[in-house]
Amino acid sequence: MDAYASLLRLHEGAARRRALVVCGSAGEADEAAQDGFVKAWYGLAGFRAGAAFRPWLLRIVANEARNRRRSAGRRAGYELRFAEDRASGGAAPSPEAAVLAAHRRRTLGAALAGLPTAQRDVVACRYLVGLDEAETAAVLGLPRGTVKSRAARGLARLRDLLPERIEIGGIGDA
Amino acid sequence: MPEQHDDLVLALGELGERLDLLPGDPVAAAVGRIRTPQTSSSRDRPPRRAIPRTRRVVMAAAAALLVALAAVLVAPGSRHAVARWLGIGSVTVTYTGDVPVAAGRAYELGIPVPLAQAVERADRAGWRLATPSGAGDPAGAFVGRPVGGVNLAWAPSDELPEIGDSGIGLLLTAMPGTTDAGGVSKQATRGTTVQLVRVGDNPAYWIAGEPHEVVITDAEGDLVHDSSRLAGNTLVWTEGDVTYRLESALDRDEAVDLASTLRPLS
Repeated sequence: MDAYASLLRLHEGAARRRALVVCGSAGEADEAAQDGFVKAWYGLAGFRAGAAFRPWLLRIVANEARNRRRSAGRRAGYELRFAEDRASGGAAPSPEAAVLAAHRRRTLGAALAGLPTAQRDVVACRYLVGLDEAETAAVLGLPRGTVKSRAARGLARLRDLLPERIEIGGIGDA
Repeated sequence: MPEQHDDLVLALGELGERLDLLPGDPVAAAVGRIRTPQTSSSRDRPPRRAIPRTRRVVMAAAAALLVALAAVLVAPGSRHAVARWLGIGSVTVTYTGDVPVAAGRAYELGIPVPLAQAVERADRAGWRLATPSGAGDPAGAFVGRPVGGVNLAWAPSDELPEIGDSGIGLLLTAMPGTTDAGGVSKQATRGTTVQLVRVGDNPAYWIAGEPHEVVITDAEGDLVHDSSRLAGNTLVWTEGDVTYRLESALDRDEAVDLASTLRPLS
């Protein structure tokens, strides 16, 4: 069991982020991650030796998150929240810059929430969770070509959803 | 990925780093539920009946095997370079040629930027980007993959044989974060070997053979996964608060020699 916990620790961040972008609620996401970790344990004996563990785990967690999102239905809102700026070795951002950066993050988060689910899933896996194309395909159970095309369409749609005057560059640079 | 969305991809990556997770611990909660299924809620559907001992042993063995594959390598010892194990500068590389932008796309190295911009991004994030001076100036710089990291690529040459048919002779990935907090691991396959070596006074890992994944503990304590790009042999080590991964077709000693020439860019 300790070995399994150690293994989960390696993938915990990606799993929680993956659940969060599916659910749109940090509380639901953690519940989904927890359920997914339990299910993965009971399914471990069926895990194919030599396969990549992370996409397999993330797929289970994402399914749990999707189920939660589905059962919550329309009453649940989808709102991603983002951490405030933290100084990381350099000077702390000015209050004005921090406010602008937070605004840019909220705007991009809202635009992301406005994407069709299929495109949002791919965009989130690829660029928010940081999975590569093959991992995204494995997590979502899609052919790589579909991942590629949905990512391209999702990015184009995302740009359309953003207000023209917002500058997305430097979102974390405040 | 269409190039016109490069800025958007970078912004999304930075957004992902800031997703606001709760301070809870779903791993501990899940492990608790597995350990005591009789007290768990009805949502733990799998253990409706007692799990046979043989099945429990198989599960534990499968988990242990996966962790063994993850092969966490703890880096002991001082991080202050006082002496070097091996000679410095025995590999001198003269750069010629270019790394095509297409190679950067093909191997998902990130977004191509001028070298000065990569240096500036690192400075703004509070860390110094360094390169092995023995390799000369890189032919290409890429940012955003892994998030917060920089990839520098050198063209193949007599001194830097091409890695497979990648069009790249040397790839250096720099990531803010350390490898010595239990953070470096490698998801090995059967064809991969790992050796503990030294770069200067710092512990380093020489990973040879099949493609692998490196896990870095970043400045926030989160684990960052990064896969090898080109299936070349890889040297991983930490200088200060930055982890470097050097991927090449060089042999171990040549790679260590080259890594020992690491100097900050300004």
